[in-house]
Amino acid sequence: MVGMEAEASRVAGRPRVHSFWVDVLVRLVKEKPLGTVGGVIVLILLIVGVFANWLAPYGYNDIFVGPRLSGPSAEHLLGCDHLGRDLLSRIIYGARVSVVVGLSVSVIAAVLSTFIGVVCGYIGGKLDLVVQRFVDGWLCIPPLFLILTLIAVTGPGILQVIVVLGVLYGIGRSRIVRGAVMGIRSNTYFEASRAIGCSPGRVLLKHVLPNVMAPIIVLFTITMGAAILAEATISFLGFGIPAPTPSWGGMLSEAGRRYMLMAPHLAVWPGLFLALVVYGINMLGDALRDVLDPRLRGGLGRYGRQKAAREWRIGRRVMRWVGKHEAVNK
Amino acid sequence: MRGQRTLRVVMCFVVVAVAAGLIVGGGCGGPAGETVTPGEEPVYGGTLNLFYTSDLIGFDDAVRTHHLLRNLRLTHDLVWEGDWTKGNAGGYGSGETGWFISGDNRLDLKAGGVVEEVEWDLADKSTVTLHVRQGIHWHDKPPTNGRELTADDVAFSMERQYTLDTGYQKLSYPWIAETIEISAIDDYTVVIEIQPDHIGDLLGALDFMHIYPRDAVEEFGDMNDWQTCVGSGPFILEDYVPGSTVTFTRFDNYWGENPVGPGEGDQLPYLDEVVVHIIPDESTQDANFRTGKLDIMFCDWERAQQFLTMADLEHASYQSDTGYLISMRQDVEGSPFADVRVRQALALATDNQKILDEYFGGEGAVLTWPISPVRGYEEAYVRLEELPEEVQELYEYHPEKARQLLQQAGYADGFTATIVCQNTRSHIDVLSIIASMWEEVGIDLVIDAKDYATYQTLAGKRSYDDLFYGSRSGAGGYYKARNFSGTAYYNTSYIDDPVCNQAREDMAAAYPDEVETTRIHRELMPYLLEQCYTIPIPQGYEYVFWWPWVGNYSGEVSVGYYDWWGYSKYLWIDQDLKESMGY
Repeated sequence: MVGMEAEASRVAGRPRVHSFWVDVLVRLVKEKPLGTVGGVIVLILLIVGVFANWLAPYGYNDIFVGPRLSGPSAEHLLGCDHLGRDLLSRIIYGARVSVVVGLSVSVIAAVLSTFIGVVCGYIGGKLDLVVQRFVDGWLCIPPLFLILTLIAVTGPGILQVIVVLGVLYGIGRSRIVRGAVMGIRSNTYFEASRAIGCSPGRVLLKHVLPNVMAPIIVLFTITMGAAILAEATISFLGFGIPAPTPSWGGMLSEAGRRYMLMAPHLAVWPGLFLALVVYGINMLGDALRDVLDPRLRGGLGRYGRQKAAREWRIGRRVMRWVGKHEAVNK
Repeated sequence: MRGQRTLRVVMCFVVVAVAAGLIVGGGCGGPAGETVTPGEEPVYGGTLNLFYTSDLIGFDDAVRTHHLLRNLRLTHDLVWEGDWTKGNAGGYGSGETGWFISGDNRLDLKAGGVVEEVEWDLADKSTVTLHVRQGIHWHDKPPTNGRELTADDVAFSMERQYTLDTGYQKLSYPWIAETIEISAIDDYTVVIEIQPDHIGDLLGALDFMHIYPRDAVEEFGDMNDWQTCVGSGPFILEDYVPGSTVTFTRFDNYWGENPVGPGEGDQLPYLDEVVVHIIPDESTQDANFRTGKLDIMFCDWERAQQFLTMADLEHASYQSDTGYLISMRQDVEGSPFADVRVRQALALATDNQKILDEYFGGEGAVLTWPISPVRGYEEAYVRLEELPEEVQELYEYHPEKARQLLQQAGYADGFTATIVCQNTRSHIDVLSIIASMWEEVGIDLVIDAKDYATYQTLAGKRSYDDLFYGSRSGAGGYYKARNFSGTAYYNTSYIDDPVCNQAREDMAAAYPDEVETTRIHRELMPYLLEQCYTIPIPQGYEYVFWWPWVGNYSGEVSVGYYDWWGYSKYLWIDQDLKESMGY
């Protein structure tokens, strides 16, 4: 028994067992420096968005607190806009808009794409045929045209932007989730669970969803970047967040473009922050995709480690059982 | 390998630098050669490039609102129009007006259009006679095919305005439409029978409706299709690309002649073409004008700053007749705005001087309602410092008093109000400032910005729940009292005050005696301002810039009563000068 236990230990080793997320985080930091930088940027964005009220030196619509169109100074680190509003404060509050829009759209899109993708991928057949033709048609429509049309009908506003973008991305990205579900349908454990009579709900919750969570997580991060950029585009075109609520795209469109020659800082700072945030989110999404995909790693990898740890635990239980029986039989 | 890589890097830099240079160079004007001095002698030929901020909405002002169809001033004529010689006229006019304001409606500044003379008896104001000018021809397009314009066309056109449900005159002056009788008694005489107290509204309508050929309207139903556009104006509508450009070409058989200056007696127009570029975006407008693609630019103080640094440009500035204001649903029972204390509180919470100093550069007027202090209408206007003290105070900044009034009215905690406006910089910026000011007294102002078409529809129907940001009728119509009485859409606050209604009737009865009408209006103004039916917004100076190759132009905005672009027929383009400047 000891020998068997020793054998099990030699085969599997005694790996350090981390939780899944800690393991992801450790690997992200160790293997993906750009992704780590992206993660830090996203974290800063979240903190700034949540604590904007405390971080911003002025209110976002405190007019004429400084000279119109003035450049950076000790009192106004990034300068003032055409109405004498502190630019740093407006950028900070604009980050809140980006966070709210980005997160909300990503959540709606993730839920919608997961629902459509999982149902179509699992059930298949005629349902999948019909729904995917609708998705095909949806994907053919130019996104910006669709966004502007829907916003023109619903009117501008943050809620309308979130709902429109969430539905737009949710339907579009369902194709990816569907593909992932169809990929695991051929796995043995999938057939086994159905063979022993598991209900469809149990199969979906216990076997399908956990195994397609990786691409969903990646989609979530990528959608967040795309949503922030889309909101900026809509606001730039005048259909987005209504004034005086600041939005980076709206700031670019209004004062940034109008005073580009006289006060370029009104375009530079919102544009820079927008580019930085979208870059960070995309880098984080790319890194997560790599970290969560077992095919892109060598050796045992995460699954190998987890499998080894599971085998070690099973082996230990077997050894104990064998040991008991031997003791009894003796 | 390394050498090849270095060469690739260098080539990339060269390509990028050349591309950047081309982009920057393309944004500038052409190389300046030897510049020719602007000449004073008229020159035939050339193209005048104008711009408009939105797409055209129609071609028939009996179907669409007249003052939104400025394109018709190029293709059609009015009964009478502004007298070019009374303005600067390239330096040869009398200078009684600069034709800077849009709504200058003074009778002594009118000149004949299709009608040579408008006749009425001051004692008996029930009959107005129009003597139609002989020798005016329609454009050589079917079905008119160049025939002569007659009194029947004039009578028919006026009749349409007062009978069609879409006619601006019927909509705005339904009381006239019910009683007016118009008839052409011969080929060149139209007689109009009205009630005497309607004469002011009628005379104001004579340059607020265009003349159409009867046979064309009867054949096509209306004239709202650009392809069937037939007029007697100086230009013919040649081409229309929706959302892009509108092209007008000279009408060779136009009746008008240059009335003054070195070109006196010349047949008009001088230009071969007028091209109107539809450019909604201000930055694009500015870029086009800077690069010489547009010939004339109208803008506010803020945009003017960039052009003031361009030494080649000519410019003029003036107090605008345009007045913006915040209207309130003070007619709705239970609305906070029904209480005069709330309205006065909002006025006290608005720092007008700060708006004027910070946003309009300190040039302009604080008090711009019911009219602005514009040239020619000084007698109808009361300056802020001439108002009673208690009224003056309302237009100063006293947030503490505002809070007290709100408390007295039962709004100690303030309230939320939504204001409808257009999604343009001039609306959004000012309302952002107002929102910030009103927040100090507990009023949460939610800005509901609409696109142009939606906004105009709402404005026309006076459709809003709380507040509306819009403009008012110009100074020229002060005697009609449309800003503070009646059902016209300028009365956006739904004012129905017996004092105002009486003043309207008194002015209508006194018109065309402008001494008496200005006295009545002047006496009424302090009362109106004390009621705070609207929150008038300070208005800065407006600017007009033009390139020196635009000849015979002195910055005119509207030659007559809302007669934009009417100046086009008097202008010429100095092509040699333009080329010598590199454009």
